Amino acid sequence: MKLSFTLNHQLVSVDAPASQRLSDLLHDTLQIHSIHPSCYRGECGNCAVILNGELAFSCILPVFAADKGEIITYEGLRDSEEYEDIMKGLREEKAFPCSYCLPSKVVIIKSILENSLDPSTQEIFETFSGTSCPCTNFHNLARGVKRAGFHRRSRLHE
Amino acid sequence: MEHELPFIDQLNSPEMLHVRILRSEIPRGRIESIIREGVPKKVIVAGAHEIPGANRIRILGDEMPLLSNGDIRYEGEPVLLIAAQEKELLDKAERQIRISYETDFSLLAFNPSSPEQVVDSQQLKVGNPNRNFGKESQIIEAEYRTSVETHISRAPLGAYTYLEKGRIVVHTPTHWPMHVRSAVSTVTGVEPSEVKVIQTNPSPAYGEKVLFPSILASMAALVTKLTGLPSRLLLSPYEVERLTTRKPPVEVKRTSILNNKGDLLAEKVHLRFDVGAYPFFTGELLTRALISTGSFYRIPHFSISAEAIRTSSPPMNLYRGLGVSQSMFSTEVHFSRLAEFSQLNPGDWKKQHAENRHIITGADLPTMPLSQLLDQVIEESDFYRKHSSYELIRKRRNSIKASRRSFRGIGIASGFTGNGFTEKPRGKHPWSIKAVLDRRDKLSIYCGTMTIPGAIKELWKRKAGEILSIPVESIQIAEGNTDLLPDSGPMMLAMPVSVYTTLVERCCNHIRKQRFHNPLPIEVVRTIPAPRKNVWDREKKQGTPFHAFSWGAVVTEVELDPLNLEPEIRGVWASFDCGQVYDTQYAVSIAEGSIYESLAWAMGEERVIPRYNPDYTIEERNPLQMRLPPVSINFQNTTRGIPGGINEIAESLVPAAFVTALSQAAGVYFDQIPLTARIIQSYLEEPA
Amino acid sequence: MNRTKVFQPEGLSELLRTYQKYPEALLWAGGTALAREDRGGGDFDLPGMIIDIAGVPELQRISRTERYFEIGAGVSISRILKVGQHVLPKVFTQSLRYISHPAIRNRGTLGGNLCHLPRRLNTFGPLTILDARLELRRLGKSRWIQVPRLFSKTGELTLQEGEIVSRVRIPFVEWNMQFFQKLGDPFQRPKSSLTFSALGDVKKGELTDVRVAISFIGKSFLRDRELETLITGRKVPLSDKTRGEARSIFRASLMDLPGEVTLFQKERSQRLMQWFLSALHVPPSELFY
Repeated sequence: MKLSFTLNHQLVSVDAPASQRLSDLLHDTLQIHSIHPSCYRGECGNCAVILNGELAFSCILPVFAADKGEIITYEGLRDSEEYEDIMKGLREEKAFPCSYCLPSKVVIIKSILENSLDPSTQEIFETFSGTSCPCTNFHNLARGVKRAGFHRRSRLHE
Repeated sequence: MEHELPFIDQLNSPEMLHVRILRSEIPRGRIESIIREGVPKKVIVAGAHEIPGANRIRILGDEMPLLSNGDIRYEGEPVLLIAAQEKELLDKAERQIRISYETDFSLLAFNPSSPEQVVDSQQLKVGNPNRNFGKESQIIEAEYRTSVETHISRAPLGAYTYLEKGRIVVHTPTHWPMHVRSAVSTVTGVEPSEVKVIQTNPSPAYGEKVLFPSILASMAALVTKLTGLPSRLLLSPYEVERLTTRKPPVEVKRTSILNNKGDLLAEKVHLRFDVGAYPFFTGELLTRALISTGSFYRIPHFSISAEAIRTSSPPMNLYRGLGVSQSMFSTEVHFSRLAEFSQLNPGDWKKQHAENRHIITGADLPTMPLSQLLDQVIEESDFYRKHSSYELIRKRRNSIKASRRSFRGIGIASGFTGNGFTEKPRGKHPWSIKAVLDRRDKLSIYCGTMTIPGAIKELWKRKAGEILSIPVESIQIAEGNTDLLPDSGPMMLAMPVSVYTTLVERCCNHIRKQRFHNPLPIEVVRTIPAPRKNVWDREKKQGTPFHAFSWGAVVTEVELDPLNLEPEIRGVWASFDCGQVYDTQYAVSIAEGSIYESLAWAMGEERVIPRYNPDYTIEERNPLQMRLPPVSINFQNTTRGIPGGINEIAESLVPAAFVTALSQAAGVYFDQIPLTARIIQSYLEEPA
Repeated sequence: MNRTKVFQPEGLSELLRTYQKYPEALLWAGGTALAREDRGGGDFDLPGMIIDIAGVPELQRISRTERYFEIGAGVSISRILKVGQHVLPKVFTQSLRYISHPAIRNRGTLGGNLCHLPRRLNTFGPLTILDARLELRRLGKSRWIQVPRLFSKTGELTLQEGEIVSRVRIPFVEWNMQFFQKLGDPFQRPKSSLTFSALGDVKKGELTDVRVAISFIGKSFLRDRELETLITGRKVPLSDKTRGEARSIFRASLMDLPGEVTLFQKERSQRLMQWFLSALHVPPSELFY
């Protein structure tokens, strides 16, 4: 089926089988390599994207879920100030996502900060509760997210 | 953040062939026939007969066929490779190819198994545990089991190969590039110098990146050799989870002989490892099992035997840690129980029975920090008070069924893991590290893998800078491929942080001595030494087996909800001595990740994540609270000694501490991992 | 190559017309539960036709009157929580909170959670005991049913051809005791998992109404009316004798469940029921009545 959607602020049109997973379309066809589809159960979070302003795990979405929508991936965040705030926050709190899960963690953190720039530990835990990667402990990660929120707030008030 | 290397699934080219493995559908038997009629012309099919070189993958003396030569030893064993530029053609080809089997229904089981299935056995003995200890002695027998554990790493695993000026170039997420080169050379029949291996990003990894990239690279390279085209083979998530490395199941039988005061007079232990259809590293596995089981305890008569059992399961056992956590589990749980016979709590029992200077192999170690570590976690967790309170409650209550309150327990475990191999690797090219100081006083360190964690690289630079009095900015860890880098062996068993760090120091010390006498550049190679027999006698299991030790003590407190029988971790307290630690916060992060992973294994979960605790209120709204087990970690003696690995010591101790804590909480002796609510229910005697 | 055809109606009429024409099509809301049943990689194993209801605005509405709350079947779980967290009954909102994690809740819908065929998911129990009703629409017709009537005794959907669930109506009734507990993950541990939903109303120390439902994460669902009748009208806390009788009744009901319910699930539900019967008491709000 023919689909069109905005990917990282650019309009994209593709022809893909309706049964294809959005994660595979993004990774294999559109060369979005920050997506690492692996569990295919919507759990590990390594395929996280922002779809229509909300966090979504693309491995459990068919391609038609993106039609006429807007997708933001890690690549679309990398050059933004938000990205800098997030990385700064993680560094300061010694949260060290590995290169495998860093992109998805950045996307997830972005979705948390969209809801609140001062998220509670509960909110952070909830959003990350499906995910796992042996590299990062959740306590440091939660502190890193709060720190990122702080930097974001500071920047917005400047 | 580390590793800017690409992931293997990012590499491709327009004319690339997708390679897929067709696997056996039976667990044991022979291939009767393979019919390839009707396969689309554009699909390449390759079986064992198409292999120009040798049909084998060999690693440290053990080997397996790359593709089945007719025998089938496990379900999922590779039989054929198919390759095409379009994946739809592969689907068609897969439907067309018919493989018929003659099934052998006599599977090689783990329990029971026959003597013919034993592929390796080892023994370690101190004193005479079989002697007669008199009528006053008590005999305690127990059995422990740990089940298979699959790794949660789902990083892409595969290989991408192509020809470049006649050479085969391989990209793969390997932790041993030289082995990939050797394997590809063997299978394709070309000289090793005609193969170049470039690493892709291997994160995260659990041991599967030591052997499986060599297998997959050989398969992809075979297709490239046969067709002249680039080829890429990527395993599916199912294949990665089920058909690559896993922690092998272990069964342990223990017999303890106590006197009438509860003192331990003798201990006999027998361990059995299920090593799957094609055993690898069994010698190292069993040696480490013996050492971990004997641990640091002072027991006058001790006999430990270990066997590796071949079964019809997919190959495993190249899992991180090589069997240590399973061995330590039975020792730590069992000795916690024996403490009851001496009227001691487990913490005191362990301290009383700890050797001050020796481990089971008689290694005379100047520092054995276990008492210090035990004291630390005992104090921090308030272990003594909690243990006696929970013990009192356990003895007084009727049954879990009759109670509405949660029950608590606290457990303790301690021990060590070893860094580096116990055996010098066989083969003509020793594993080594190279360092070159050039004319501009810039130092390059060459290690066989580019995927050393950043913190370890920083440690090397700092040490090198100190030894040579040069700024760290003028030190680089060289990047490259197998054309440039030496063979430093597999990146496992804490080799990078421990063994390689020592070699880097040795290289730099040698350069320092030569520096003002010989012209620059100065190039030094240092190889991983084989310990002299008076240091480590591998046959007799006497001496110091490891390059360095990592020590630890862990306390875990558990609460068992009698309504849903789900254990909740109230806290984990850990104290480690892993030698020098360059970045303590990074080390704590690594340890914490390992602790959560091992808790997940112990509870039969895929992972430990923040989750809602049960909310037993039926009035006003209470917001559901997500909780994560609190973990407290500290490192001792971080400025001295050889740096040691952290992952393995953390994950080896937590399961035992968890199970003993849960046993106290539930009032039953659990003797296996994992423990899910359903399994806990089956241990409790009373039906509802 | 899979040739699934996807219809994407932009309004309810168009949806109903399409569904009437192609009643064999699979209705796709968020698809989260469907996707989680389809394990393993590769493309989804989809039927020949799909109707994607995400773009139908009538199914996205949330409205409120004095007597009830109405939620469109296509409203996401996240949105229901955002809007109704503090006004909807706790037994229902807890069941929503227990659904997976936000990335799933952002896509999953109430209709999808209710109508999932292979297993009764979180919301079925609470909506049953809340006496929620479902509006069923097909071209030119609509009707209302109670939630339990959505499935037959054998667990099949009782929707007629071309019929969809369009709205869920939850009445506003005060219950001073509400409880929801989910044990286990329905997709990873279906043989251990269950949900336990309960409502109780205590006035002047008397249990004037009580409802309990247990869903066993397959197609099995238990609401024990005999037990509810026994304890309704009794003083709380319940006497030992009453609790013993209630437990016996419940045990017998559990034994009548089909074989797909494991012994462990029965054991767990008995423990929870035992706790619930003991936990019934005069709530603080009634102490000064």
